Amino acid sequence: MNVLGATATSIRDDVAAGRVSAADACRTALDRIAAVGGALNAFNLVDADRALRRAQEIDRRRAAGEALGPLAGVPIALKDNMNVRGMKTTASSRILEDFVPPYDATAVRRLEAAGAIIVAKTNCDEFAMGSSNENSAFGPVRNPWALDRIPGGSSGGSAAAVAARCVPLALGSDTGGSIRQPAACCGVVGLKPSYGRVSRYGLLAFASSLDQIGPFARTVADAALAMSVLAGADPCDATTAREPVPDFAAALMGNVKGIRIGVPRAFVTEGVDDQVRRAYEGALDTLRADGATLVDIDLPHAKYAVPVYYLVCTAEASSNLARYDGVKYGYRSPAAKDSLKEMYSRTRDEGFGPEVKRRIMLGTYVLSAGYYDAFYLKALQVRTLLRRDYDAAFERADVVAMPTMPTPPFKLGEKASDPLQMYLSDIFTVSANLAGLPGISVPCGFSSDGLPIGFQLMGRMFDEATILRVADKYERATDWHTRAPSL
Amino acid sequence: MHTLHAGNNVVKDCCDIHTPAATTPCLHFQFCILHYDDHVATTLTIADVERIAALAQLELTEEEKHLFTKQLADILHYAEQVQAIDTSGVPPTDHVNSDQRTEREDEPRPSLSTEEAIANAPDGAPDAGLFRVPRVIGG
Repeated sequence: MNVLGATATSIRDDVAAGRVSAADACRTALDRIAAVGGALNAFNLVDADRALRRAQEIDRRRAAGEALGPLAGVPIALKDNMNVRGMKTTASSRILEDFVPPYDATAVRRLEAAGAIIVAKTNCDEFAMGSSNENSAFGPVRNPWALDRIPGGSSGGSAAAVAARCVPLALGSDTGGSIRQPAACCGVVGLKPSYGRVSRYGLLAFASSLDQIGPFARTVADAALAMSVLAGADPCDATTAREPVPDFAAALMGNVKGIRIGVPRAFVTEGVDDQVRRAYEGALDTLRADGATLVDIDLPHAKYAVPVYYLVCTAEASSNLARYDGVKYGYRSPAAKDSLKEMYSRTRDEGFGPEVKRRIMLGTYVLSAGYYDAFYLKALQVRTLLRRDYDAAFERADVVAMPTMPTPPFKLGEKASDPLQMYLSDIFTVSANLAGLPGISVPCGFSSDGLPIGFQLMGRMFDEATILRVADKYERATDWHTRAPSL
Repeated sequence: MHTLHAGNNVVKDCCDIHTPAATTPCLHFQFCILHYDDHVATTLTIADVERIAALAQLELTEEEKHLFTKQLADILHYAEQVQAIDTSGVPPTDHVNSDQRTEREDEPRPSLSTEEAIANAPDGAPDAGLFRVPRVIGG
């Protein structure tokens, strides 16, 4: 069988049935990473020995007749901002270049308990701050569909790894679109779960009220499979939800009859690229033809989501990143030996990249005396209004559909010197994080240049099942997800 | 719906916040960004940036101070649009699951050993079980 390009579900089934060994599936992934990883700059670390040892252990257990987990033998890549004990976590930052975590993230522990084989850590924007993956201290990731284009950010390496058929599954983290937006840019599926659905323990904190871990996959079924493993309460993360976790795979029932899809027409207006708009309208037409009903909804505060998001996330980041001070772990400036205070500030200036500093500065400003009420508190109030918009929308609709990104993936360097322009590309993704809602990006077309376009489905709180169901039905009706970049 | 701007004045409707009568700096939203550079940004001085950098324990270079003065002013000016929204009586959302009860008994559980906790320190003193840092006071 052809393991390269196989889905996680089929690898799992083939390993379980003995048609392919976990070790062979692992070697196929490692060979593909060796072949294309350099051109994409998608990987910060590949641990072939550890991966092969674990794959052989899966094969041994199968031979011994032991029970195998739901991801047994499936090669997987992790964004390099989540911890695997003994394997470097850098967050693509100089300040953590040599950090070796002493514990596993809960998501990692769950994956490995399910039999998944971690083969690599993927490049990302530094501390997950970015929309293009150009903020990595280790250089930008390139889009597998066009090497001069961004792969999206901040989980660009994970999206590129799945799109380039290096691995069938990868994890990313999504604070303002960092799973969904690169999924759209790279032509794969990306799911941000509801806030609290997946434990953040062992994920390096960026903005704690917004961060969520979620999967990249090439099919909706694989994303559902990964979610069944990842989701659930965790005593190590007090923000995880006690909500029961449904069987996400069972939700993919292959029909959307009676589903009401909310369409925020007034929000999806100017600034949206014509080709993106056509692909989005096409996706809506497909779902309507399949039996869904389109209903107009209004999200009057959605247009404020970008400023609200950048006020909230930078405030939280300025607090979270205070821990990187050259004392407990990571880089310490050799230049300041005589004063603790100077050691802190030199270490942080030399260790952090420009975007991280910009966000720490902005967050410090909006939390500072005299500006707190006008910026931070105001943003939290508008966040409430935005949540109310969605509460009202979900009384009329079961899911809300919009483009994932207003344009196809832009050229590397195109927006690098203008942070505000870069922030605006998050307009359709940040709302889900502010409101805590689940969102999934699904491929829905290509631009005239052959660049992937995605559209997004958002669901009610903890209703990943319905967005997976609708996304899966759309995928069955189209063939966008079957196309592969010629890499 | 946005169209024309001249300096700080909105000549024609630019977005639903503004009317032709508006004379305040335009606080237009995302898709008016093409006109954004026409506007005077929030006032922010190098001294402001130095003050914030000191609060954030960041020692910026002169070049960074100049760049951030411009960029942070641009971003803050853009973010000022939220101030036009009526939020009287609206409670803040700092967290979406904040009604969840998370109390538990405060009892010891297994955790990292001192050795593991110090292993990544740039200047650890494992024998003493401490992190070493430069002098805090005096000199």
